[in-house]
Amino acid sequence: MSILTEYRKDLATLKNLTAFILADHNFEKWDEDLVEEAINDAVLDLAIRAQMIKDEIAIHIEEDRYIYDVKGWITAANNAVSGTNKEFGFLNRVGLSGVVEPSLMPSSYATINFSQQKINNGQGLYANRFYIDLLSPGKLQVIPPDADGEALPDEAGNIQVLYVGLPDYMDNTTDFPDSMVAPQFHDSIAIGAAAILLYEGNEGDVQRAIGLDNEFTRLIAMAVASEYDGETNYRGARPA
Amino acid sequence: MTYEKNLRQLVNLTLRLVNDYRGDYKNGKSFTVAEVITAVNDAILELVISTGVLKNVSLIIPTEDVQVYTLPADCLRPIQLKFNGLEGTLLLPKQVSQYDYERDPISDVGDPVTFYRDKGLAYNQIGFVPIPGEDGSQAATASAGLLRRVSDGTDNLTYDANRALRRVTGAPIEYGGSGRIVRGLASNEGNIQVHYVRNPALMAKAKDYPDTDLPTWIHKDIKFGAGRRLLRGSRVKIHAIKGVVCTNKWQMLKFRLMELTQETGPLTAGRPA
Repeated sequence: MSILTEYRKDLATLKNLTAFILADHNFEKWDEDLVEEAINDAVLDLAIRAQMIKDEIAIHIEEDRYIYDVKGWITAANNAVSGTNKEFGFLNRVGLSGVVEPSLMPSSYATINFSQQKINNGQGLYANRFYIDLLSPGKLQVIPPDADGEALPDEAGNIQVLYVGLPDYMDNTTDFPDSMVAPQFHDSIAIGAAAILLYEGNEGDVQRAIGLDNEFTRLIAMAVASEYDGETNYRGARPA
Repeated sequence: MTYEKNLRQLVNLTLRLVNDYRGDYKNGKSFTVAEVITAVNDAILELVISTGVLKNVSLIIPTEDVQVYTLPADCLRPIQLKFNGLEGTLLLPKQVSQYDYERDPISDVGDPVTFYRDKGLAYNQIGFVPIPGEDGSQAATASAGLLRRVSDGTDNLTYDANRALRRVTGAPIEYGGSGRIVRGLASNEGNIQVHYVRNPALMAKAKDYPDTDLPTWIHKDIKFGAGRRLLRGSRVKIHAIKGVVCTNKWQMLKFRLMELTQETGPLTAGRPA
C-alpha cells in the first residue's frame, strides 16, 4: 500500500515539472535560478492562502505593558509546538496560560470607544482581550495584568500566539516543500510557478498564465476544502 | 535564501514583467532603473494608503491657547486621538460646520474634546476644540511614558526601546554596558496621543528592503503594482493586456493584505483569504 509521502516532489522534480509546463525544457528562456525562485514563491502563495502552516510561540507578559511584537518573539526556544521558528505570516489565535485555557477574545478599539469604556477596564490578574486594529502587522495589544507572567517556559500568566507561518525556503534540489504543505498538492506548485513566469512573456504566454493562475487558485481552494472537518460549526472560519 | 526581496530584486522582477529586462539592475529599453524604483516605491505607498496596514503612535504636545497643530511627519491619516494617553479620553472627530449648526464656538478654552481637519487646514494639520488651556507636560520623570533614548555617551542609540516604560519610580530598570538612561520622558499627561496610518520607508539603495512592518509574503507581488504604473503609459498591445493583469493581481493583493493582517482567528469567523 502506498502512503501519502510517496507523492512528495523535491525541488529538482518541481523544476522539471515547471519547465515542462513552460515548454522550456532546457531552461533557455527562464534560467534555473528564476524557476527555483518562482517555485518557492508558488509554495508561499499556496501556504499563505490555504493557511497550511501554523506555528505557536510563547510571549512573556509583563505588568502594565500593552504592546507586544510577535515577530520579535519567534525563536526556537519560545516555540511550543515544533521547536521550529516559522517566519510570521499573520495572527490566528492568542491563548492564555497554555492550551488548556480558553483563548483571549479578540476585540477592537471601536468597541471600547463606542461603549465609552477605558482601555484598562477589566485589568486583573491575567492578560485580557487582545487588539490589533491600531497596530502594524505582527504586533498585538492586550489589556495587561496586574502582575508579570511566570518566567518562560512556564505558561502561567503568559500568552501563546498561534500564527500562520511561512514555509521553509527550498535552496537545494533535494529539498522538499515544507513538511506542513500536504504532499497531494505538491504537483500544483509547478502550475503556480509556471504562471508566475509566464506573466513575463508575450501575449500567448500571458493568456496561458491567466489559465494556469485560475487553475492554481482552484487547487488552493481544493487544499482548503481538504481540511473539511465534518459537520462542525467552525466551517465559517475557514477561507475559500 | 528567504522570501524577502530587496530593491534590486524588485526592479529586476518588474522589468521582466514589463518585457524590458536588459540585465541585472540595468536600464531597460523603455524604462530606466530610476523610473522603476519610483514605480516600486509609489506602488508600496499606494498599497499602504489603500489598506492602512502600517501604523504608528505619537504624542502631540499642546501649547496654551494654540488651536492648530502639525501631525507627525510620517502620518498619512489619523486613526484615533486620546487626551491623557491610551487610558485617557477619546477625542471625537467633528466638522467645523457641525459647530456652526450647533451655534457652538470653536474658541472655547479647556481640555480638548473634539478635533477637526477641515476649515482650511493643510494636509498635515489638525485642530482641537476646546483650544488647549494649558501646556502639555514636556517631561516627567515620575510618570508612565515612553523611554526616549539610552545613550552611550557618544550619541549612539544603544537601545531602541519603543515600548512603554514601566516602574520609573518602582523596581529598577535593567540595563547593561556603559550606557546611561536619559530620564527625559514624554508623559501622556496633558498631551494628545495620536494613533495613525504611517507612510512606508522609502527604498533608495539596491540592498534596501520594503518597510520591515510589511509582511514578507507580499514582496513577490509588489512587481504587479509597479508594473501597472509603468505600463499605463504604453500603447503597445501586450502592455495593455499586462496592465489589466497587473491591476487585477494588485487589487487581489490589497484585499488579501487588508484581510489577513486584521485576521484574529476563528473567534471572529468570516474573514476570507
